[in-house]
Amino acid sequence: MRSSNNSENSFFHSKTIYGLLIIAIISIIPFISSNPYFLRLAVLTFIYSILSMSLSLLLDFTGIVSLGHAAFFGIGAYATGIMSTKIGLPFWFILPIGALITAIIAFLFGLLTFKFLKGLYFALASWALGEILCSIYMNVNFFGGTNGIRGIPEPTILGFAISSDLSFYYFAMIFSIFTLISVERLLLSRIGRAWVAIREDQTVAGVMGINVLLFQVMSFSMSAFYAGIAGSLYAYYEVFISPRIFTVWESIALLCMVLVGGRKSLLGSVVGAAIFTFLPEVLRGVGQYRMIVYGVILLVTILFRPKGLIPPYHFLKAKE
Amino acid sequence: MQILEVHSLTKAFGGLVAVDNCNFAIEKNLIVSIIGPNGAGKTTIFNLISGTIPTTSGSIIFNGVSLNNLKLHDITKLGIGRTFQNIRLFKELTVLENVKIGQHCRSNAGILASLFRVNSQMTEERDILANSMKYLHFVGLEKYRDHLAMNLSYGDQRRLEIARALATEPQFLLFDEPNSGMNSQETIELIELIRKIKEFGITVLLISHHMKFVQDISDHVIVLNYGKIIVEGRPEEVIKDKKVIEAYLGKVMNS
Repeated sequence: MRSSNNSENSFFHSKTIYGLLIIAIISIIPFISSNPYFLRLAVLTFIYSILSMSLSLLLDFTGIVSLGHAAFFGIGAYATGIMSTKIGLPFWFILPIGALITAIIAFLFGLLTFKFLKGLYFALASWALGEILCSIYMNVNFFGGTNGIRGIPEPTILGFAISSDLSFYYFAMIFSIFTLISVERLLLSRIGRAWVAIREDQTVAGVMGINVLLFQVMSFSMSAFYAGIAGSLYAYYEVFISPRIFTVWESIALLCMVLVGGRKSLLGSVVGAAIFTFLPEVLRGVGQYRMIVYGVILLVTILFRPKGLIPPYHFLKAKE
Repeated sequence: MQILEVHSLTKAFGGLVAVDNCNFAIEKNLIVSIIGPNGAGKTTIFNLISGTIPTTSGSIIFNGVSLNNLKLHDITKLGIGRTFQNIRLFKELTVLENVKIGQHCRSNAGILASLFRVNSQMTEERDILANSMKYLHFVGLEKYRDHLAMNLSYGDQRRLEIARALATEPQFLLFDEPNSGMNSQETIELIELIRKIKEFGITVLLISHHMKFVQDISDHVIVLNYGKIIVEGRPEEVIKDKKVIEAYLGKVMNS
């Protein structure tokens, strides 16, 4: 508080140290428990954390409720499935292009809808987009119909094939860390401030000189870009994708991760992703009653910790 | 030299004509007040100039540029800033963040520049911080930079709104009832602040209900009643005008 530069530098240093420490711990985990079942859940946690962080960017930092996040997850996965099985393109080309295609579709959809729809009406439109895409995947032969796409080849980087759970663990971890750092950089820039201003009050954001429509579309499109990356990783990891995965229920599960993990906190989104990836496995014994457990968790969080498990941090952390 | 010209400006909300064929011009580097009884259309004129609502007919020309078909953010970029009657800060953000957001339209780093933290973006961020601190210092709030806006006192919230509006680097600043809810000491400080803003070369247009405040601060006064301009001129003349007294107090009955 006294000197702006000093406090920001020391904050930065402590953040870097904590970050490296956490990365080190996460990197060692597979050597402590190399149980393939655990590693599989960990890989899925990394992939879902990319989804929950990108949804948090949209929901918590721009104030846009979307029920179509799984649809963008699906576009990334299908783009990967098609480009790798039908054309045989390499991984290093497919992942960024798949994410870019996802972002472009979101950009066009955003341009069409944000001008006319606000709040829950936009949420309904994004739900409709997801349903339309799902029915296209299911009914158009090019997308493999209800069988989905099978036999997606393993990604190779510089001749090194990523096929084992252990290599996928580090592979997905890198992308998860990339998402965390890059989303945070965006949030700490003038772009992030514009998003937060739009969340707080759209009229005042406009009076501050922020192009509200453009920045909403930008946020939606960026969020979809990361969802595209997650979709691509998911397709490579699972080898097989089916249209049934990318429904509105998946979008709602992603919203739960963000709400339970921590609003206005990216680390919270990661924690939320971990909870909702491991929990179904823990609850396997109770079968279909696990939906009740989800409901209770969501209800308890909203009632007792409305801001989520992990408290907000960085520029929203202020003296009370 | 005129900074703003308003020609036959009209705004109707359904059947209610809130602003009715108004014509006025504002000279550069003055403090101009719009006064009038409740419901006279003062805030509506503000909303029309700042672009938060569209006009029904007529035109607003700012520095020779017509504002009619411009978007809200373009109007801000041209150099019109404003504050709100019912304070509208970004309550959950810090004092500093509020002012930094005001600098948005004077900076231009894009997504890639922000992701890779290129030099120009880092320099721009440093400038935004320095400028924001300058505006906070100007209104005397730099010691609260890391506090949440909603935790400031009422007078400080008004001051923060002024700092945020200054951060958009306007040539023309609209204050919607800046002294409402302020005690006499705070009002005196506010008058000093607005005079200093004028010294920066910023033209000020303000709305107020308090005659004393208007008399103390204004170079020129426009009186509005039922959406029409009834009188305009120097404050001491306007206040003595029969039509103004009638508008505020009502007509004397002659029997």
